[in-house]
Amino acid sequence: MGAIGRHRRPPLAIVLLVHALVYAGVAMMALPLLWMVLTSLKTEAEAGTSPTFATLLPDAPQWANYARAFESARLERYYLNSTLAAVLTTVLAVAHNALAGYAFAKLRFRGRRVLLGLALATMMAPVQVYFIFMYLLCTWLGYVDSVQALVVPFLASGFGIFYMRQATLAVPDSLLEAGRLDGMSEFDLFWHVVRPTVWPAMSALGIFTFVFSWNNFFWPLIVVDSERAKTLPLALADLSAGLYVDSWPVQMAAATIMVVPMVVVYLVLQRAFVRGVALTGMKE
Amino acid sequence: MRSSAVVLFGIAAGTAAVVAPVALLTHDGGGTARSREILFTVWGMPFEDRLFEDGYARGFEAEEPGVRVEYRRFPDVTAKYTAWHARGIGAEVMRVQVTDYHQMVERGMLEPLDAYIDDPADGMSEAAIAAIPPEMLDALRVGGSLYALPQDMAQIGLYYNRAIFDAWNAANPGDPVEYPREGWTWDDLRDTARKLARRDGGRVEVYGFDMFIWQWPFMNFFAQAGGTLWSDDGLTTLIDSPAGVEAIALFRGMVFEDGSFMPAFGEQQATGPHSRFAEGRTAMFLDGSWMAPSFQLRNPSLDFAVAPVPRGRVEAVCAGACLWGISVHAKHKRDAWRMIRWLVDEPQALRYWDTLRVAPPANLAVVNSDAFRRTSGIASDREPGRYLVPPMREDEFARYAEWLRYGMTPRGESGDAPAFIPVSLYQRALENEITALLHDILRHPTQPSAEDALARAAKSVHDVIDRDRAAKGLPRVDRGSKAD
Repeated sequence: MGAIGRHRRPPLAIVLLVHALVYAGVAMMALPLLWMVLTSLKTEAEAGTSPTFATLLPDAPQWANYARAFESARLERYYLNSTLAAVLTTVLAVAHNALAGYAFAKLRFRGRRVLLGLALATMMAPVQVYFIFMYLLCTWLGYVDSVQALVVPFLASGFGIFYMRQATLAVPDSLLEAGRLDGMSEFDLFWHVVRPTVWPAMSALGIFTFVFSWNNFFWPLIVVDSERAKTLPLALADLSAGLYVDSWPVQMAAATIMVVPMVVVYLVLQRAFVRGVALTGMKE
Repeated sequence: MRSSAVVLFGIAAGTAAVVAPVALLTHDGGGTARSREILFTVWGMPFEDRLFEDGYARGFEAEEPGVRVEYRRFPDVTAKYTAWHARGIGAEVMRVQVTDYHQMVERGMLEPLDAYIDDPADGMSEAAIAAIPPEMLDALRVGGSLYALPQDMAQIGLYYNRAIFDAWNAANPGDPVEYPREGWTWDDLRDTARKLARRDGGRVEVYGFDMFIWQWPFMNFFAQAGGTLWSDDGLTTLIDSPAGVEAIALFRGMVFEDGSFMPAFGEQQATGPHSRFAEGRTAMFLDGSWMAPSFQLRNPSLDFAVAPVPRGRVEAVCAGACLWGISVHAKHKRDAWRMIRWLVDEPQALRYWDTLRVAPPANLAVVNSDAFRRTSGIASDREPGRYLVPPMREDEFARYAEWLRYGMTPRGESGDAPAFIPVSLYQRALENEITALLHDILRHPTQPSAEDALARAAKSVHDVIDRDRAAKGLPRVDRGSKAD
């Protein structure tokens, strides 16, 4: 039997311990979501009761809370804006970041290191530091109070470029050289040779970007002036004012409605996402 | 065409379509030839549109047919106003939080109102000015000028569960407790909270006293101990004083000596003090005036009432305010002023109370009127019989709202009303430090010592002030013996 076949199974205690840790981790992640959904189905009185196992489930599910969430926060108006901004940002940002990552990983050009350093530098400052400048830029371009203001500033990012560069480094140079000898253009190489390899990383970046765009609160707060361009996080924030929350069940119903698209995107891309996260640590 | 070329074209075309600058609708404070358009901005929840949009925006249009009011509500206005100011635009009528007021004045974001107020043709009458609580006007004067007028005067009060008091008295006829009332002292509060707190093994059955860990309760008791938050120039905080030590001793006494107050660290939301009181598990709860309608909605069977905060050596009630101001970039400032004057006038001030009931209007004529004794609330459009804000019947006034008059009524020889508005250019920095300080001192009976905790908080505030002044090229503040 070869070396591979001689793998010893870990002791049962270790297996159980690992499983217990994994399930504990899952519970920590899932319980807040479960709490959110269950609270969204409770009455005001039930939601205000101190949590015990006996009070975990609602007596009778209050589906009307979802109708109230739509009524209170006017969610139907803002769903389209959020969807449009998140989808456009995701598709275009993944394309741009992947192409830039390919360029930084596989092309040799003057100023490559400096440009990569500049791209990475953008990751160091939080949005609060440069939002005034970004806002003025959007004003000059006429983007304020439109979906463009929610998309254009995020068409490429330091994180996305670096992430895709790391993923692209895993593609063997010999494959690219062979393609060039066959007369393929650089974009042909990216599309036919690099993309199939880095697809999991692109999927992972797509999920990161979608979630960021979908949840983004501060930037839309700055650039959206009118009701017609408002996004879901702004509408959700309308349901509370500081510590004063109008209704917890309605707030949780609105939050549940807001989370659904993210869950769908994750379920669609989860296999590629897991591979993508693992892949970015690989090198040739 | 090869597939890669199609994709490349798609990416390029998609990017170009998104990036191409397009002239879009942006409000620049302008108007049409037929009517002058003014922008009216507030923060709040959707149901508050009933007041701000239906009542105020449309009401003012009816009052001034040549003006169109563009109404906008945002979840947070501070960052919004800052961004607009950087862009050189601003709303005609802005709702402003008092905590941001001095910063906004310092940055030159607000139009001075003195010339408008004193205008013989278009200004405010003496009666209208006299209706605004004088201590509020004092708090809003910067360099002798007013840059905003107050909408309301939210106050901190002592909510109490009458059923818990009644149950105690029924079970202990020889040792009765009385409902909290005006004139109660710190000792009354501690004694009663100690009696009413009840544990069953490890589980707390009744919380004797409860509050959120935030700055208002500390500022309230600090002022009642004779403390002053700021030096006259507003550049040195005076919280590291005997009054601060006294306020901390009160909190620590209830937590570690009496066991009547079990602070909820991190339970600031759904399962925290609000919910415990609404659920009927807290005897006394210190919080703002805005919670009364919320408790009525959350638990209609909750038998509660509100009293003024117990007094220390000094009668003091911590208060806050929402203000009306005009952006320096507003295009129609004269119309903006007319709207503000109209907003603080008695009918509109009363409408605020009648609709939302979160805080008494900053109008003494309204607060002392009969109309203050009842409110209409907001009924749901879609569900008949359901209220978004419950009404207050006249017979409920004594339980829910009469206490608010205490803070706004001049007392004794001083002639000052107990309510005070903590304001300063660096108020936010101080309030953040006070919250952090409470988290520190309520976890252990002696560590850190009250003096050390207060000195540390003061130093942090002074560091913020010094950094800010250094960035502006201003000299460092000489704090003498308080120099850090």
